[in-house]
Amino acid sequence: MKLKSYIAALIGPLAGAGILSASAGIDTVPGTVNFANGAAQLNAPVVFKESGLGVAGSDWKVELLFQTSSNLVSIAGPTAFETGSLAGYFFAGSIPVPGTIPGEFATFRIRIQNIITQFSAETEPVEVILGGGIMPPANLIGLKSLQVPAPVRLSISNNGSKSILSWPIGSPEMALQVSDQLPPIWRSIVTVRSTNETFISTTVDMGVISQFFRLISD
Amino acid sequence: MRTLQKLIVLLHAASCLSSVTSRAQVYGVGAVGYINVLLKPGLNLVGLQLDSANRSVASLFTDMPDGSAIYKIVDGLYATNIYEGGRWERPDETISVGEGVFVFNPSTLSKTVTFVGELLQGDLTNSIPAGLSIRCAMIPKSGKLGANLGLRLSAFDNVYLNINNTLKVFTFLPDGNWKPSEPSVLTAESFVVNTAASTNWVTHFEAGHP
Repeated sequence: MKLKSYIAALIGPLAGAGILSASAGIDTVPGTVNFANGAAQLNAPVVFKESGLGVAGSDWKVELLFQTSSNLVSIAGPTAFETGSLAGYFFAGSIPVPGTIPGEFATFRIRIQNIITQFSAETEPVEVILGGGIMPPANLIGLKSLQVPAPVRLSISNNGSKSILSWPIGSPEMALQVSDQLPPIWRSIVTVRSTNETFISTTVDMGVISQFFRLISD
Repeated sequence: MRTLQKLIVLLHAASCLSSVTSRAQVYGVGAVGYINVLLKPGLNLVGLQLDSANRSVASLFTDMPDGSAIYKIVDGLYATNIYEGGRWERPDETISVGEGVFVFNPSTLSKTVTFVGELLQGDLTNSIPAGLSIRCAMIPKSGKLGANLGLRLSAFDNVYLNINNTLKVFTFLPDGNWKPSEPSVLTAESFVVNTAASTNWVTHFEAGHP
């Protein structure tokens, strides 16, 4: 069925029977979307690029972004990912889309964020026909599975008068920063790095009372 | 809050034969009943669970308030049937056992309709097409769709229940569980279902002899 006639077939019954009319005693209903990446005709888990495993953990959040005529607006979330066998998925349910009506086209993106590392990524836009009234909330069909980099964990070990800092190989290019105090005042340092099959490592002198290190993306 | 309240009475046709030497019980064929379906103001998801010779809209939904509407999904799209001037737009439109429809009650008062008919028995197959449809159990039974009514879908298929005039989404998970929880229906309550592939919902029912 052509798109126009599909929309007419969808809206017509709702308007004709007063579903969209306040005079019928039912408030005008907004368009709705199913904020989930696992649904009928949709299977788009968010996975770690390195391992292919689904994203999980309290530091990962997902938001639903709605494209208005002028802005990209967050209308749901941040919400957590599932865990265990459902890692990588989120099922936040039906979300009313402000300023819309059932049967209207609407464009969405999903934003994934790590609240510890501040990593953030958005999916490509997905356009759907909104549900609402007797139409089920629209599934985000067309949403693609997103790959995100696993957070890079910096490790430290003691080797006599030196400390060895290391992080996984395959991570994005990272710079090492140091602070001599807390709260930190970070400054970048350049050190000689070595690698084995799994880690990048560098050695720093433990000459002062205390120092603190972190990685930051280049 | 659910919108349907029903009373079921099963009338089991039975007769007893006795003789000088035996008192074996003999049962009549078939079981029949009626279901009172309460249509609250607004949208109601109603399912047909009793079979009869006349399953037309005009026979099932009589004396409705003007402006009532029935929405039935046909080939994935809604077909509308409006009640005006004391009659349905398409009075001969039928509903099959195991099929559901939206019924819109435009009044501020609830309206009761009564379904009468025969209980289907034996192996019952409810065909669910790919995409959108409205379905109900083929016998007047309430409970959880999977645990009590035997519905098995494919991973990430969706079911929607009408709760306070809003369709709430439920997702069937790969491990056989549901998100946010397993949907539960009342007798004569139907649900919207959205499946990636067609499937058959097979159940078995016997009216039962003690």
